[in-house]
Amino acid sequence: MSEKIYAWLLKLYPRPFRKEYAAAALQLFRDRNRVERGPLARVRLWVDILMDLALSLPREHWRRDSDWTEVEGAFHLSEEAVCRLAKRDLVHSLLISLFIALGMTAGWLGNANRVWLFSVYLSFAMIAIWRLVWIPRNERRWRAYRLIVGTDRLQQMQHGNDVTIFKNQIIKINEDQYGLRIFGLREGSQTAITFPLDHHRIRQTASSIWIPVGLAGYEQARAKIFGWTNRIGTLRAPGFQDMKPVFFCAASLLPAVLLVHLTSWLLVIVAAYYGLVLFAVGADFSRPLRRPSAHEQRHLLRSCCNLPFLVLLILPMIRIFLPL
Amino acid sequence: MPRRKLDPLPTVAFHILLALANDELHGYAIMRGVEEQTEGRMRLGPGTLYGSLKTMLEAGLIEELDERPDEENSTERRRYYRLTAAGRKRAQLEAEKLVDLVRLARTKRILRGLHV
Repeated sequence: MSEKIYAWLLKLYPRPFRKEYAAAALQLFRDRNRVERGPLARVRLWVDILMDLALSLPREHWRRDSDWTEVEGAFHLSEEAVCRLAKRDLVHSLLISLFIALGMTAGWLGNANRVWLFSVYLSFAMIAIWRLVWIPRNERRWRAYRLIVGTDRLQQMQHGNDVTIFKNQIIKINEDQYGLRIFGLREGSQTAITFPLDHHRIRQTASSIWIPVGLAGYEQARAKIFGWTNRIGTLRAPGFQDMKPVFFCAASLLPAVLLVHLTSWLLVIVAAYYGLVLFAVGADFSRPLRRPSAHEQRHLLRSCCNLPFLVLLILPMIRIFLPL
Repeated sequence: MPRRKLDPLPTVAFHILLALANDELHGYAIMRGVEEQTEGRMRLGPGTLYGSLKTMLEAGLIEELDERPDEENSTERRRYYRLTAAGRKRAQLEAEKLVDLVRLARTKRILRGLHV
């Protein structure tokens, strides 16, 4: 019974900690439970456990949020954010599409004297459907692996030689019949470390990095950006060393943001503005109840500069960067 | 400026390093080792212990060995840890720092007797 209670209490810890240490923590509890018998010992055990929870729970939750302050942590968190960014849920996509649609139509309808724009609704519906369909299809093509990295490097013995790749030297990750192959660039030459997918390092984690595999263009873009950042990272400019964690965090997120999100949102916004401009210049949509007057047309573009509309337009863009 | 992990070294981490100084131990054995070396004053709970072990693993002070069966109960598999060279060096530096403090306390006549 007490084991069950402790197993339930372990659920209060953040998911990465649970995944990594819940079994070991439960084993430790089981050991103490087995050794410490008698009512007094049991009370002491539970006092210890509750004190431990009170102290370690906030620390473990806080640790996740503060990891970005470390150089390695920045890399780690940014890779995790990459996964979160690409795993957009359907509800989120739908809500954001709805926000944009509401923002734009609120401005139009209010100023165009309740002009009913079927075509605008139709275009937004099409964009929403495209957003819903495109992301899940893309998700199916790639996976993320969590790989144990005790320190800031990966090491493997190959033919009697110790091969080492530092985290920030990783340029490419492939999954093939041999397993997960991690390529690194050291002093101009490329080296690779291969892990079978059932390797214990992939199942158990200490410090870890998330590796998206198979996302079209991601590896190439990331390799280029790491090439630039490594070059910039060697600069000895005063104050730059302090900025490095932020710099590397932003650099490693950039390809994911560009490839996964900005392209799709750009299309959404371009399509929306295209519709707006067509309407403002008086184009004949499929079934407008009436054509807006010249006065209304003049005010249409200006009306889109109202605060609620801008907030609704900017909100999704902010949301893209929130996982940082 | 990013803060370096384990700087200064927390007491719990120092005790874990000392517990691992002579042997490869699993979680429960580390907890018992710390309890014994502090004469029962410090009993590490699972959350504190594994949280500290995680931080020390990331800092390269200890390393995890492959899972292996428990010697007493062969059905249970346990995670064993051992000190790295960096961990041993860090424990040594911390101990020297404490010796200096004790020496200072003696010169200030705060500490008397045959300590250290």
